[in-house]
Amino acid sequence: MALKTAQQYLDDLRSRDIELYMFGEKVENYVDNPIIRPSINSVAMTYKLALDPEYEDIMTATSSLTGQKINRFTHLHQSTEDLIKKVKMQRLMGQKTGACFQRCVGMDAFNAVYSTTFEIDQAHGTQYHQRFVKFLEYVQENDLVVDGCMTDARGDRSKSPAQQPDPDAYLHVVERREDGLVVRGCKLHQTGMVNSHEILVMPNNSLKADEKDWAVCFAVPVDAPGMIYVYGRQASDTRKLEGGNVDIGNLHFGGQEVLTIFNNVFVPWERVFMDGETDFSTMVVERFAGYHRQSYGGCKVGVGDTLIGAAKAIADYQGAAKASHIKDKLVEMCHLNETLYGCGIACSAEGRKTAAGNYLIDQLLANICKQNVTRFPYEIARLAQDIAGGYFVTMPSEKDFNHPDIGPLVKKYSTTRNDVPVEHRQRMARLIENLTQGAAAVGYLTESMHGAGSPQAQRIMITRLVDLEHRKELAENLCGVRENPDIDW
Amino acid sequence: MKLYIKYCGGCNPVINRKKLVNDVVSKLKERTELEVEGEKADVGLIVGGCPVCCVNAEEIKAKASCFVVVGGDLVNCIQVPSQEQSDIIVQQLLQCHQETIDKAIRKGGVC
Repeated sequence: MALKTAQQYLDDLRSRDIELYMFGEKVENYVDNPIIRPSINSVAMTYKLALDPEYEDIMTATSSLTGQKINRFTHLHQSTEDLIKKVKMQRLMGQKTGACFQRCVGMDAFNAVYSTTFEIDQAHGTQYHQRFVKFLEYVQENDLVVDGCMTDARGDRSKSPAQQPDPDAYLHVVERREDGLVVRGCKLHQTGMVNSHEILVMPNNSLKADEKDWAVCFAVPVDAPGMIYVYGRQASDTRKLEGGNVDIGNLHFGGQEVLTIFNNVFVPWERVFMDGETDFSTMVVERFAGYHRQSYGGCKVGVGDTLIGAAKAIADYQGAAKASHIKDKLVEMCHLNETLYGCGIACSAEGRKTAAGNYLIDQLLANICKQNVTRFPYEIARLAQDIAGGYFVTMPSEKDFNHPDIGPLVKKYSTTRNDVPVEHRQRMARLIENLTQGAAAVGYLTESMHGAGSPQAQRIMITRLVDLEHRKELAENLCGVRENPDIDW
Repeated sequence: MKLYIKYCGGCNPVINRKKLVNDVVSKLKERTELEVEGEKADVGLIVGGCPVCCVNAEEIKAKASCFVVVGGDLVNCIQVPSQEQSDIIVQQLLQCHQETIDKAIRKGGVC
């Protein structure tokens, strides 16, 4: 079974029992919970499109491990073309869902872990890579969703993992047994966690030589004993409980972030891919972050396409589409959005082969990509709100629109162009609200800021990766501070 | 040993390619007899200024029996400390050369 259907994916989720809490209560049937279901639909779309001839070229790939046709979300990138197709796939998914579709983080994690385990084995004589290959074959053959799991609770940010008053502030090994490890800790804001089949855990940051217990990488199933999940709130999330279908903005899709607790979880040795190799913690973190910073040059662009479309539509509905400043703002939104896409494509086209054989993005350009993503979606959102006018935040609820007495009056005074049904304006305004300050703003804005590392994390990488001395030398050659070695004629 | 050297275009280097090659050549000369060849050589050194290393290896693969590839701070795809980079390249070029000779001996191609 190399490719699953969306229905088979939903069946997988229903077949297991997980310890999930939301609003202070244990959630029994989370698949049909109206707050959670939109996020599941977003992941389900990754399955549906892979089986659609119209999209399969971008949504599928040939496995380098098994030779089978697989979902690209489980693929090890074999070329720069694969890296580019990844970004295109993410843009497509953003367009189809208008939300975070959650499956990238696992793809980014296992591409990072694949190459890192290879290099750990070369340096230390360990056997992690083959173990990881077996795990990945299982993922590909069963078309699984994997949650790439990195960000720890981190306690006091001024202290390293071993210096924390509570050692659990960073996930760590608490026991080494003959048959495996026992780990404890917590990973914050885990995208798509309870919509995944497997969790691939990586260390959070660079580690010192005496922090071996924190240098751990492993995989466990989402329903492993000891796993506890607490669902993250999103702005306007309880609108999904109101029973309507207008005020939620995005009718079918959404994102998901989960506080994930590892409460003495057992990991068998065959699922351990790093245990104590502190000298490789930086490599796996940087590679995962680099891939994920590339990802945002695709997924946020796709969501941006939907927001640009929403801004264009509401301008049309309200009779403002011909105003030159509206046209100009739409052009500016496109310019910003395509710049992000350009960065995503550029860091992919400039990718390189790793020693393990899979392809890694260009780290500098991936960090530039993400740095732009921390800014441009905010400006695109600001322009969308500018074009929309203020009604998207002052508009009455859909229940008022449908009220037998006041409904006709609300509709009368919400009407814009006579040939546009008032409900169209209502729905489009709610979508803009959803994307720019509602539930989807978690994914489109705040995730753009902090996901895959906050802005300062990219600036540190940019500082490291740009050779400023070389640039200084170029300038000195030009203005005569130093003799120009190129001039010999 | 005959060495073929191919540089990338050098648009955005993060290492000083020329200095690196000078270091490698002088260290190799301490270890073996060295000729830098423009045509057919025993081993090749591809010097990319950044990890992308955009040299078209297909175009030059006939120039040497085996290659060591440098891309920024990587040597054959593995990140190495900058202060050790030239030593690691020298070691890999010599190893590459030795493997070529061993292979040729096995085939009966070297007297």
